[in-house]
Amino acid sequence: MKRKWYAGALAWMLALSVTACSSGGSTPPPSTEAPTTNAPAVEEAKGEEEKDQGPAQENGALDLEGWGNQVKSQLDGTKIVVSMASHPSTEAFQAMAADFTDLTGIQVEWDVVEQTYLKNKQLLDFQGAHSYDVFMVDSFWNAEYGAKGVVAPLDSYLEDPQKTPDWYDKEDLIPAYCDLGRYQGQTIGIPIAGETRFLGYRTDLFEQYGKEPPKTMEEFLELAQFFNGKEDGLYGVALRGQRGIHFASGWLTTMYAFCDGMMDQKTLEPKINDPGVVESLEWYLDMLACAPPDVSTYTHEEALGAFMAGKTAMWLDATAIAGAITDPQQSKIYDKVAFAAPPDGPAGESAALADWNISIPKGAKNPDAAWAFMMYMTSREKSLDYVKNGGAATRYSVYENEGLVKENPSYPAQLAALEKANGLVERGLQWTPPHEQINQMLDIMGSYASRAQAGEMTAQEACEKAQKDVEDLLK
Amino acid sequence: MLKRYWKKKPYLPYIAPAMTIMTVLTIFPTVFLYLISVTNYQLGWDLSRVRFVGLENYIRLFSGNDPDFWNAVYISLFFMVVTTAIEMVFGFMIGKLLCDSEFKLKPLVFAILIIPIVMTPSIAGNIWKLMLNSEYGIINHFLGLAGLGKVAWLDADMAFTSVVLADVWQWTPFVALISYAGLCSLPTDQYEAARIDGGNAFQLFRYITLPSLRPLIFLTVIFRTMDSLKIYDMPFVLTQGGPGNSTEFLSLHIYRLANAQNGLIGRAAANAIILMVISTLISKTLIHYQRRENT
Repeated sequence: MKRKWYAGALAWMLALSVTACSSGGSTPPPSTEAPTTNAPAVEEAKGEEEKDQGPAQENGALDLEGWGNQVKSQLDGTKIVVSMASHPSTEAFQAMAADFTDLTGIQVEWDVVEQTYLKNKQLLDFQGAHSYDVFMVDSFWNAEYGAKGVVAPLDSYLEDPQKTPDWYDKEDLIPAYCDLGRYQGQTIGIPIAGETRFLGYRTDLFEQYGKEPPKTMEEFLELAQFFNGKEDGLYGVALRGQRGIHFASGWLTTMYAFCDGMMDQKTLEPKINDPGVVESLEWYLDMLACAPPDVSTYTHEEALGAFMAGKTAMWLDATAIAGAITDPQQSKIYDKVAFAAPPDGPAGESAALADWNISIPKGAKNPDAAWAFMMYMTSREKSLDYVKNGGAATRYSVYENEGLVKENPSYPAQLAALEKANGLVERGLQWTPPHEQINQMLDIMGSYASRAQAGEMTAQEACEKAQKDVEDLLK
Repeated sequence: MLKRYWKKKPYLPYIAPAMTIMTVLTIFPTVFLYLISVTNYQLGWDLSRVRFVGLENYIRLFSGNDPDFWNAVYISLFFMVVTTAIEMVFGFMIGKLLCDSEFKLKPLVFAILIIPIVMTPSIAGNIWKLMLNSEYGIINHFLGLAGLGKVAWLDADMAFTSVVLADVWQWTPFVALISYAGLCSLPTDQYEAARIDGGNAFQLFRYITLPSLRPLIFLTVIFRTMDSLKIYDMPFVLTQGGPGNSTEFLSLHIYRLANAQNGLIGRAAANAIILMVISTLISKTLIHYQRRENT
């Protein structure tokens, strides 16, 4: 009998392991959304850029060509394997990869997966095969990757003029984004796609009902309640509400308007039951009540979809995905939308600040070739190519480029939101607290908050329970 | 000596490959799972940080410190009972209907029945996610045409029902096809004899059809119970376990703990072992009854 039991148990283990393995195996193709930028304007911008670059190159150690030849002499034929998320910036890199290979002789093999599965894949590879040379890393993961030693420090590369020539222009990278890529004073990631979060609203509806875009969180909620159900099939706002990290990420967008966040950033002690955090959740739940009824399944994509389909009057989400809203091919409301910086709350100015970085995993087989790739792709010299191919800006020179501002009407609002994000820095806060276990904390918070949204508990109870679970997790 | 041993057990060389594969694929991972379930191991950790925590991970489950776990156990068992019951009843009815009637388009009906079975659950899940979308989903569109108003299918109140609906859609045809095959293979002479003795349709079904199909019904119940207990892909695509934890089945709960967002491999391993115990208990009970049927 005992043997039968063991046999049965083993058979079930096999079934379980098969189920587990089948979840992450597939590699979805990268998104086919085409970036829509106007080529002539970019060319013009490029012209201006080249003029700007002139003197710097004369003083620089090596120009692009010279650097390329030098790299080619050392690393010709090397193959690097790149692990990235399906993202417009990845597509931009892919578009630029052929030029890179021509210049340096380094071959690039792509492994692009959907971002939900990227971290799983990277951590599993880090513990096993070490098959990648470049990781694309969400700034949410930086503290964890830094603490676990998943990625290598990059300072020695950045400071070596042979490996990072003048035309890279470190100073031009927006410092707030560079700070996100630091862990305990060391640079572990180079920013490639910066984003803050801002407000999109329907100009036609706001004009029709004589409304102004909200300046405070209170006005924002009133407007959402005003527009909710105002017309047939119209809801107030589109936000993220899917249980777990997505809910937490949406909630975090506006949390700092009410308080200093769910963690004391000096002592790294959690304080999710802080009255300000509870208030921010109550506010967020009130907002979700003005969202489409299935908002509890919304990630950033569904929220964006609902706004672009004209289902909601407002939307508050990432700047990096806002390009689709003004694209006539994707959006029903492309010509009746405007953007504004996120409203302020009782605790002052704040805006989200997050980005994607590229890093070299520890144990990478070709770190030098990996750096050459990263440096080339994120250099100022190539920044216009990068933006032209759909990449998201992380450099001042791009934001200030007049030709590009004409192309992308949301740039001024993005810069305004970035200034508000600086407000957060002035308050001595980082948007994502630099704690190794921040993702686990956010997942717990997002789970309880989602239960509060489902009516199973109050915001106060959700925060209390999340605090208790997080304390249990961190002990 | 080896030769003599082999002579004594001549079957050994034949089963050796299978046993080797079994050892590599199941025994090692199972032992590893047990080992890891008594540590605090997290994904990405250096081995020097791993600590032996004894039965802490299990105590957490049974002392009520992980209420999500018990919710997951409850809804998994509830889901198993509900879907198996519905699928058995409807599947059997469809099988009976198909067996009793002859019409020209019968092959077409079979082809349609096979579609849900062969479809990858994650694709089926995506199709259902689109159909159930409260704003642009086709189901709400038709409900609207019928004047019934919109239903938020993936909302906290309805999400569980929606997963049941999708599972019933996918697996009822499986039961239907098996019952059809069973029903059609029954000999007709018993029925003729019963009719001569004056048996009515219900009596024929109750005293002839059901008893002769009992082993087959049992087998189907075992398949469906085990399958629905470890459901993962459909709710993963439809709801990711939400809203709240209304569709967080055990397998999803384990996944949520173990995947990179949380990376709590030690705790997830303890959960997985409990799931293994539960499913083994249920399958053993069912198999026990089935064996008794057969003897």
